[in-house]
Amino acid sequence: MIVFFASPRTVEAAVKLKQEHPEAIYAAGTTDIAVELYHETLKANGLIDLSRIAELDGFDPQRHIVGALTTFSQLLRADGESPELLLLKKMAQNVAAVQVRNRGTIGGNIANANPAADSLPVLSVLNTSALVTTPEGAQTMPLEKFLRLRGQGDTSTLLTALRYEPLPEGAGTAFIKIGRRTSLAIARINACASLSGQDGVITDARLSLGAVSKVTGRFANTERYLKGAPLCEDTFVQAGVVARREAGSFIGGRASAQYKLSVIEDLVPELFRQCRRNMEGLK
Amino acid sequence: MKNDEIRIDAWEKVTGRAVYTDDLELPGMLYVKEVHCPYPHARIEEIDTSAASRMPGVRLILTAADLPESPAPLEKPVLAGPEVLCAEEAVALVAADTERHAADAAKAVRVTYTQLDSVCSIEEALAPGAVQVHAGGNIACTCILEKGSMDAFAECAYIVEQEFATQRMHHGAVEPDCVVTVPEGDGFVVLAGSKGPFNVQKEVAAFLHMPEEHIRVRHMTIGGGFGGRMVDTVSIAARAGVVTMKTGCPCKLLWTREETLTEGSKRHPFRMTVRLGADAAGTIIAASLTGYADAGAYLSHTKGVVFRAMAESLGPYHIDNCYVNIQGVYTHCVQSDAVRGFGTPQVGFAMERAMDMLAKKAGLSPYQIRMNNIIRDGDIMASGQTAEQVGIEACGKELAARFDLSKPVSRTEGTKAFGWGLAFLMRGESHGALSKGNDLCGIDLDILEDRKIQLSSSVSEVGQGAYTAEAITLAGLLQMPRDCVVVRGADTRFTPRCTTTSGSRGTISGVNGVWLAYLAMIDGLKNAAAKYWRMGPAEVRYRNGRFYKDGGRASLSFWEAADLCAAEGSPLHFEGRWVAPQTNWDWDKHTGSPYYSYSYGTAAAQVEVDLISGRVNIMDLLVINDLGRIINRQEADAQIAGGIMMSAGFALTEETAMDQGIIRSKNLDKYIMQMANDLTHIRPAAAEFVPAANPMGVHGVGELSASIAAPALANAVSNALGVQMTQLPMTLEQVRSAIDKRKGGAG
Repeated sequence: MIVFFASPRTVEAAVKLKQEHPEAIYAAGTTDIAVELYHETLKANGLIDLSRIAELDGFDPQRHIVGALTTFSQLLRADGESPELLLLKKMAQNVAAVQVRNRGTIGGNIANANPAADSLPVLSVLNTSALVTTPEGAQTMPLEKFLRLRGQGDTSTLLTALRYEPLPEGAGTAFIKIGRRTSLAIARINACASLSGQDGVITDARLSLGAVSKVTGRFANTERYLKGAPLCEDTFVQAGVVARREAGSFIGGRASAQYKLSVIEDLVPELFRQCRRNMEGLK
Repeated sequence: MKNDEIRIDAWEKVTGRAVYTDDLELPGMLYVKEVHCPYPHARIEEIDTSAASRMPGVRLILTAADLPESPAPLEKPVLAGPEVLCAEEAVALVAADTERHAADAAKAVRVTYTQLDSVCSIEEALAPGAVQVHAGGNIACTCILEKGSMDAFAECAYIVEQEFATQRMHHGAVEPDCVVTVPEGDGFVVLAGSKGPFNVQKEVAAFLHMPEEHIRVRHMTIGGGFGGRMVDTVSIAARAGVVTMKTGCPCKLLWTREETLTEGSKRHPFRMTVRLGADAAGTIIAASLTGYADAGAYLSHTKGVVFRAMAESLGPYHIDNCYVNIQGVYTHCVQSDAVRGFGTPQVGFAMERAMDMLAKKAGLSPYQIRMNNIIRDGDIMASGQTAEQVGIEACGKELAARFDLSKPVSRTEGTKAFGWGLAFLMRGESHGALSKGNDLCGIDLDILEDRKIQLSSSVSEVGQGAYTAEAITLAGLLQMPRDCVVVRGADTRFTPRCTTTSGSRGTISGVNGVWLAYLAMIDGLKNAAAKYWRMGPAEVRYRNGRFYKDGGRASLSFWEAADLCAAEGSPLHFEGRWVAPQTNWDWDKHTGSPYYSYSYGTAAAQVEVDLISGRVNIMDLLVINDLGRIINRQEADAQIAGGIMMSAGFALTEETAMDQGIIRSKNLDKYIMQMANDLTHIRPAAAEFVPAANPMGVHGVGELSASIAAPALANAVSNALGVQMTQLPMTLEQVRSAIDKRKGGAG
């Protein structure tokens, strides 16, 4: 039961409160944790409300930094035409519905460590780092490391911002979400890819699929297969087979596994087809 | 008659002035929460309420031992015990001063169970030696229809036979179930939105062993019905009512969303085999549908659902040799009950899918085979009833005019497959032969001092626009402005008796009741005018709000005539009592007239199937429904649109997921209903082709559309993929599995 509530104004104060109240949890848009607390699937005795901490706010596309409190609606309103931003916007457009996009934050989406979180595949493809603060101070860590910490039950590391890397020059990108309906759908699979090439050869390929493993990360084997391969349909189709095999190694025996593996084999070629069309579009 | 009007309750709803049951807060009110059993079949060994009873604000805790014995052992008891027959049944009630206190204390009630063996599917329940849900076996009911002989299959050039399955489904009303009970006299008042206030009164009285007159039910503004709001309302009204009787306090029982999705009743899952046989020309000679409906743990309206399914199984077609046999089967699953369409959606899906399969085999287009076999006036229907005022041919022709049947039924482009599909449907109206003549509706009219006519309606306004239809009808008949009509909803103490607003009978019963009351009122006022003019009432004419004599040389307004009527001491109260025409069923010979009239409709769906995800995108969904006469076009089209939405959910996403009797889709994140942005390309088309066989010539509009979109979509998806879809819902996984099958076939 929630018996403690505080609205600190600084990151430092928030971290201190967390030290004093280890059973309390950080709260941002609360679109996930309010439901989890209601269902008692999340145990906490207090809420540390982050919404009044100005330094967590703000999205700077030039510096590639997204404040943890940035809502999906704010992402959608951001100015700019960079491929990274367009990818973030495409992802944000696919999050839940407008009400949730208005409240839900990108920080919360990540900190909640739900494998189906829509932002994860995109941030993964953008080689995103997590800027965090702990009682020991501020530090930067790979996003995947932060997700693993959260998965291990660590609630004391406060995510303050995300810093993503620019994509290789001329890269084509794609984001596809598979859900059961148009909006307010939890992803069965969400997927992001980028592709760069020169003289008919793939120079860089990135692939991340969400909702297929506990921690959303990159498909290293598939990327390895693609890099240096001919930039053509056959390669994409074969990448689907490789990705299916790669996913099969960690997807486990869930009831949905058969469905997801079948889909991955066809989805991955489609992602790279879309990436290639984007590349050509840029030219 | 002006027939395109905004609903009379639109403004109060959009401005938030409408009072729903949960809006009621009364002094001294207690809040009631239930303790639910987590097992599908269990014996209660002990209920320890000691800790809960000491918790703050707790006033009363009740278990089955505190209640009178259930009068009907096959029906769901108010509280289960000592044996629990399905998961989520309530086994105890906690009443406290706040909802939170009641909920906290309910969690503190300790129940010790011994789990018992259970049967959680039709197959398990029918297996030899299966555990019996009720003494007497697991067959809840059997409905058989026979016409001609099944030997006729021997003469058929083409035969198809296929098994089909449909799923358990939830009503999906926005408003969770809620009742408030208030002490009154020797009993209590139930305030609740329901589809049958008089049935709630009768059944709550029976469960609590109270005289019926001690229970009064007042109909409240309701946030949707969709076939529900009857058995669940009775359950929670009896629970709140017993607390009111024991404490003397008003009580509120509001289900959470989870409780509506778990304990709340559901649509019957069906397992069916359809066999169709046609001659070389594609004329259907023989047809059969046999199967089972999962009743869940209690009887409820299973017989009504199975009977309807039986009567409508073989569609709007003229077939000489027919056999239908459907049995309701008890399982240790949540109680099945009426969900909008009740029986029609299940058999409609199976029969219309089989029709497409037969068309393919006979080398006919899906349209041709249907039009070749449709039923016409004078034909003998499968039930043995003579068809009259049949609208299916007109609906079929309209379909061809509004949907391009010449385009290829299937094509593939890249990662998308496209297909279209059709469905024709016939639906029996009102309660039918099972109601044994108990198909009534009363409308009272009272002329008020302020020159308004109060229309007291016993038809439940469940969101379908019944009150608006009745007000439009009366204003139209009187040729007076609609705002002189005020509608008062059902109150079992004051409004005339009426059977449940179900089976798409609201409009038929309501507007014909209005017509009868209108005739009585005009007669009464004509008499008063005639006396004033010293002539016979037959010489008085009524037109455009005035009574005339001598070809129009003198006249009285409606209100002046009412004043004369009052002055002579005649009551300004007039009654219309609609009694449905007779229906019958011979349970030995398996034939009869199951419904007094039928509504007809056709549908066409165009879909795009994503060959990667299996997602079905509805590109066009046309539903034509012959309503005979449209009372309010806006509402008629809106009803059809809503029906399409529900039927599309049945086809694609909605399923109460079960795991050994335990419901897994406990909230709307897992129970996936269609949203407006999933259905941006629907074309609801209310039509006036053939007047219905009642004085106002109207058909019901509620349920045909809620049944017909699913088979059209299933046919479209089957055509798009070239794989027969035989099971609903066509989830991503189902469709993807069909895609894999198609790939395998191609490879």
